[in-house]
Amino acid sequence: VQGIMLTKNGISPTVSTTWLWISLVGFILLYGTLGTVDLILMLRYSRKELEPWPAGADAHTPVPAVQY
Amino acid sequence: MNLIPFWFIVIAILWTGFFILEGFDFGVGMLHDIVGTDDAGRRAAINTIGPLWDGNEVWLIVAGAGMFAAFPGWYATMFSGLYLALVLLLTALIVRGVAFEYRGKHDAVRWRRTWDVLLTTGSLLAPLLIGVGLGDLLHGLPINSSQDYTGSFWDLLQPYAVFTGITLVLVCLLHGATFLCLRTTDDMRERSWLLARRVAPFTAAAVIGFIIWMHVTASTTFFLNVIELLAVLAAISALWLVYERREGFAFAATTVTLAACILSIFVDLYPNVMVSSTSHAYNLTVHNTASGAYSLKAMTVVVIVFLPLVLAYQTWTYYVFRKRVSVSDFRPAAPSPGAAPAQEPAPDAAAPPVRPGS
Repeated sequence: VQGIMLTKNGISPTVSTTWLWISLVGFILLYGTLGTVDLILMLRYSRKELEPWPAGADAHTPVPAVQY
Repeated sequence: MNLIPFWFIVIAILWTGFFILEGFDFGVGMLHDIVGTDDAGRRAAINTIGPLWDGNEVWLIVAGAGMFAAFPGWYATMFSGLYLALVLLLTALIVRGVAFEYRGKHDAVRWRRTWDVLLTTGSLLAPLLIGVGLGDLLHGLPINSSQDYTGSFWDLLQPYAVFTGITLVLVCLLHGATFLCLRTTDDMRERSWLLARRVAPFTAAAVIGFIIWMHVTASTTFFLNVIELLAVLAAISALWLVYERREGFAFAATTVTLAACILSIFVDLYPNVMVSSTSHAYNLTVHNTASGAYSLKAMTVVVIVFLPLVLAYQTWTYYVFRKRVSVSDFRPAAPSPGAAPAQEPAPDAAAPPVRPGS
């Protein structure tokens, strides 16, 4: 709330600046790594050929869409 | 109408719901590498929870959001005091979630084994850290008159809190093993049952120890209350049912055990929400941490409208993905001899794709 609830009133008194930096840098590194891995995967998938259609399957055959 | 006790009950139900649903996800995550002897087996184990785990995890977010909105004083002190533990928890949940998604995206042994290890580690750390946090709420933390946590990270690792975390890990393991018995077939089902048999005695012993320790810590009466008694009886029943190989009832018993363990923490905590080890005069209670009446009233309307919807779609999800998952669904399919690098057939609205288990 403007003028009533100030940012300085919301500061956590028990969390030190050191821990804030450590956690902030840690999350930046984590997300940076995951983002890089994601980019590599996307590039790899964009260059990949389609997989062969399973034997005996046609347009009416439900094909398992395995997610994981 | 005083909505403060109502909202404490809502928060307790949300945490309980989270552990019931995410408990077997954690268990499957910890066990998938043992139950699945090859890559197809591990994929089958992961796919038993594949369509469900992220929906289950939402209960944790809603529980945290509910605490923030209904009891901002509790949220502020808890999230500041447990900062480092929560950062570790968040990292475990992020790594675990990404492991689900990335594991199958590259067909290399080293890649998949790395994500398997991360999935197992994340699934172990999450219930352990949440358990430590919940144990700390009840056992007490150094909190001053301004409702500020005055301890360090190491003050969180008191024996009772660590034992709470270990107990929850063991209950999640058994819950996951009984869930895998219900959702898999053939050899995998047998291995899940054998694992449940091995884990069950340790889980029952840990639950009994946890309940007695909690009762001694938080209660002034000699006899256990109803919820504590229920937790002990459910843990013993789960042990017996696992050895009798009553898979459905065993899963129901582990569900009740997990629910009763979490509920008993909240029952023994009330009317406090965080106990101060500095002085009981500084305890955080439902009354000195609650939001205003208008906020609680508005939130109650939202909960009454949306909670049935959430429960309905989640029930529907479980109904859709109710069938057992077989390892054979994950064996590589032989390509047709004459098939060219394939032209995908035209999609047919009458034949929607299916996932294993659906």
